[in-house]
Amino acid sequence: MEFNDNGQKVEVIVNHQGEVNGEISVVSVFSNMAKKKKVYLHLLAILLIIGLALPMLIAEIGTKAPDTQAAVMLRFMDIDPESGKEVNPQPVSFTSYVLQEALSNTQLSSDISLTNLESNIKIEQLLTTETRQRLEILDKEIAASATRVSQATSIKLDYENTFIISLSNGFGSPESRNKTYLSTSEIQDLLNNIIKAYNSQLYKTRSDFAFPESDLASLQYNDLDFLENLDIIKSSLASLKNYCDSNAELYPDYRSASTGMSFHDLSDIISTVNDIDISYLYSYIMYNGITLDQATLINKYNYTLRTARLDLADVNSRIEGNKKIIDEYQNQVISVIGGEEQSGNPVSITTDNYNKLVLTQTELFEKKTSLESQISDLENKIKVFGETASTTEVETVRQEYERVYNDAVSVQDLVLAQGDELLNSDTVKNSYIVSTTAQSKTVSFFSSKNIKRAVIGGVAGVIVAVCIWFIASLATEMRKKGRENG
Amino acid sequence: MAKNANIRLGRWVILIIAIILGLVLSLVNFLFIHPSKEYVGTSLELLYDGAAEGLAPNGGSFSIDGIRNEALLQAAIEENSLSDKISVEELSQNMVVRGSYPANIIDQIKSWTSLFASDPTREITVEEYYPTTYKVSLYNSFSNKLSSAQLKGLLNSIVSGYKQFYKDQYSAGMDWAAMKDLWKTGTYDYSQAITTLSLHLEMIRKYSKELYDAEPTFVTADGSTFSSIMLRADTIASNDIQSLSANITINALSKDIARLRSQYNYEIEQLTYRLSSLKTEQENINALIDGYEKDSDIYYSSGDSVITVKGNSKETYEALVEKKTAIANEISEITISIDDYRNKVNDLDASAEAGTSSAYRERIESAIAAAREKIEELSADFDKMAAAYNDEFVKTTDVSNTEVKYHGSSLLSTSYIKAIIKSEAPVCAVALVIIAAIGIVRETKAEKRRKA
Repeated sequence: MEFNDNGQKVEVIVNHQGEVNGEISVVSVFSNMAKKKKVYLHLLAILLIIGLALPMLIAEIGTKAPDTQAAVMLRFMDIDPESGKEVNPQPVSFTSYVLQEALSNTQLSSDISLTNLESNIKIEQLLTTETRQRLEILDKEIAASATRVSQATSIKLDYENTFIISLSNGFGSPESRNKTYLSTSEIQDLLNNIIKAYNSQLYKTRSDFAFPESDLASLQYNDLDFLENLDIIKSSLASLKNYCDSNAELYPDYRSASTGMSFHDLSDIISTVNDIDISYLYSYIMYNGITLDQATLINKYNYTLRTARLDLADVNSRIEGNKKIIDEYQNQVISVIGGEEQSGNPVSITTDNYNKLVLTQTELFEKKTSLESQISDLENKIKVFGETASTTEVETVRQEYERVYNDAVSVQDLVLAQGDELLNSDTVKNSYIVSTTAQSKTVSFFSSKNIKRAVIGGVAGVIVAVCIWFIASLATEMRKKGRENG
Repeated sequence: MAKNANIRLGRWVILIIAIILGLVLSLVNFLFIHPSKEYVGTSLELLYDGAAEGLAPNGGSFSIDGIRNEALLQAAIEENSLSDKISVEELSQNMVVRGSYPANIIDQIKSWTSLFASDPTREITVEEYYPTTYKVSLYNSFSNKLSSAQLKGLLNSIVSGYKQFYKDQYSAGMDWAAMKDLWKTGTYDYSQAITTLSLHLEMIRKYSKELYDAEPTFVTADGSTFSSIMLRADTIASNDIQSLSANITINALSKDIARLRSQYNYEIEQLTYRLSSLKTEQENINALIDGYEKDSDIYYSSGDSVITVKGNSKETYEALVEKKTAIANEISEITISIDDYRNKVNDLDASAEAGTSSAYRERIESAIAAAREKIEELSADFDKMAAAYNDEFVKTTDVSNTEVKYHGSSLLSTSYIKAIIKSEAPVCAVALVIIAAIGIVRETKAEKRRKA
């Protein structure tokens, strides 16, 4: 051991007295150890370093780039097209379009193919707490008595609209040994972008369809008579009002950031325009029979009336036909085969076809009502314009029409601008899903776990070195004894 | 002794070579093989009430996506005169915005309460969590690399632009000009003028109520409140408008009585057509409901649980009843409207002469003008209140941010220090092992020599 700078050696002198032949003296073993300390202290250093470094090395090599997870909660209901009732939406799934969008919006250090991305995504829908608790009870029951197993089938699994999306790291075909690994932040960004693209696709497909079709700007009054133009304006405003009313219901708190108006305000404005602009002019034209071209107008109305009457006849005959089937309908009778305590009474069940037919019938009734109103209105118009046609006030009406038209266009622009704003607003963009950011379970290289392992490795190295040292010295001593005795 | 000194020197040389080798390796790795991404970052915190529930100050849902809006990014680029270097699209791609969630949020969402749980701490279940802190990072992956100062400037502009955007987006207030474009021309009849005035008044009242409900205790410095605006609106509606309206209706004041009458009659006609068709529809639906073959729910017991099988008819039946109610409602609404128009027509018929005197007309016209003025005044006061409200509740300081910091391949960064440790450790370990091994060999030789 070289403690001193001048290389002075300090040796431990061990007393050899009292040693009995044939027995191994601990003291001499220690003296052997002291003699060999130069060699074994080096060995101790080597094992200590290896003990410290090896766990760290294993941790570094063994650390795979982590997977990532995020939770997505769907915040909307679907409408069942047949019953018109709210039903749970389709589970989360990502189309190629969504994945491609996410891939191109994420900056990745290495390229990942769509197929490889797709196969690394796992989507799990959470069961409701009640279902999980029921399953828990069932597990206990099964454990308690094997005969109850048959009941397992009677548990209906209810799901929450909450999904855990997992994206595992290591992209490449299952056979390939050489997989692409992304860094923690890259894979998290990728999953975040997938969810973002999914959300924007949801809101695009789900909110666009309701946008009102109103194109008053291209309405040329020269092409048509006053009343015809007003009819177009009326139906345009009706569809705009429907749009406003349904939005007022969907987003009652929404106000435009630019005008401050709510959809309720817009709906009231449309009603006012209908009342003081359109209806005022419309009734004036009607009662005075003001027209640009009496004959053409009456012809057109006659034509429309004929079509409406044909439609009505068709609707009426369909109603009759359905009525016969519905009247003759008998519920399907089924027998339920039950347990021991069953009464075994047969039960009647309506069929899907019957229910569909009944609902179709209500739609036909509705159609009938609107056709009948239309026919009465047309008959009235033909009568009025046949009796009192006037072309004298055309100029005054034209001026008023211009004003009404401009008001209608202003209202349309207000509604469409606000609709556009709504579509691009946080309110709509956020109304479909709530999600968490992607998270990964990462272990830092300098984590307490790794450092603990290194310390354990180091201590183990020292212990092994000391053991070897001791055993070697013991062996030397034994050999010595062997030689002395032999 | 000289030999010993040489040996000691040799050990140091090995160690120093190892340290240098480790440094070089770490440099190569850090700068060329795995360069750490260069970025500037800051975190935004939402400080208003409701942020933790995911709500925006206006009560709608909040989204941080506003920070990516094109106009904002464009303005930030121009502010830093980088228009010729980078595009809005590229900027948006290089921006990563992330909400801060608790580290175990997914476990919390997945967790559920076991019926057999004895430990009450297991009951941490989270349904929804909305972050109030967002980390915004701007990476320097532009095709035209930016300097760290440019990156910092850009992110600073984006953050301050976002604060302004936030204020604009969620500020209360009405742009009355949008409505004033309507009905600005033409000579409307008295009752029509009243309709537009009522509409204006109603819009002020509704908005005031919303803002009052949002912050009931809000009072401006001069003591006015949204409820006082509502009260004034109610007063104008019940005094001025109501009496004007009564006067006009009962005395049949009109610029053109014949025209008004024809409008009312036309409306009555239209509504009557619809009413008679609706009544037929109602009968039909009733017949359909009476004849509907409902089925029953089936209950049967197995062991100790009762199992219910729902029939198919419930939904259809409900749809039928819903339809029936809707028709009944529409019929009663139409009946009320028809009665209303009939009354108006009767009023017109009863006092066709009253409104014709020009003195009376002038009086009505000036009364309408006075009411209009009151409403305009109320409108202006509402605007003032809204501005005060915004100053109090929608401030740019509701979004606070930490200082924009630069993170990059700096040799002083913590990530580089970590990289040095990672590459030095194994190299030095190997060097120390070699030194120790040499020591063993030397000592063994020396011993052999001694023995010899």
